[in-house]
Amino acid sequence: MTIGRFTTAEEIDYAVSTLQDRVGKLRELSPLWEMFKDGVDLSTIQWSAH
Amino acid sequence: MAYSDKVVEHYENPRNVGSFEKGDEDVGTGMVGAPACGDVMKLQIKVNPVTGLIEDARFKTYGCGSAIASSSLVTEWVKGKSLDEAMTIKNTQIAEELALPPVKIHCSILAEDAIKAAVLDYKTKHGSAAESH
Repeated sequence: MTIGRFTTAEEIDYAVSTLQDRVGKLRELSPLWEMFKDGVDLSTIQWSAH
Repeated sequence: MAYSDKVVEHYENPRNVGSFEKGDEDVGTGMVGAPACGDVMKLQIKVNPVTGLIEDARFKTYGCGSAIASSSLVTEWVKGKSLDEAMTIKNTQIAEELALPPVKIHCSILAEDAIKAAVLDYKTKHGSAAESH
């Protein structure tokens, strides 16, 4: 994704709303976001490597 | 290589997203993977204490489209199964159903691990971990 002098304000608005929508969906799906919201410090979790 | 239609369909319309209430005795939780590896799956099963069957399942996954699709698919598959039946789900079945390419096989392996972890957690909670081995 690039922005240049020919990019319009409408295109920026579209990109912002699309990003917000997609990030919102991915956060809804994410166990990490859920833990973060619950106040879990993710760096203290013993993760199993795979 | 493009995602298969089935992967895209599960990614766009993931089934059974969410979490069960904390502290529910009938729930087994499995969390596998690591953020550093790019995939974390949390899979929960709700077991009917009378019948011993998995009556509901939930998942949350941080990862690629194939990881999300694999975990979404297995929440559908485990419903109605006994714990032992759920343990027999193989990653190859998941990979086949979703037509995963070789570089995405690890997603199906993770989903299999997630079910096993959830079943094991439930059995540990209910003091029958020894039965499964």
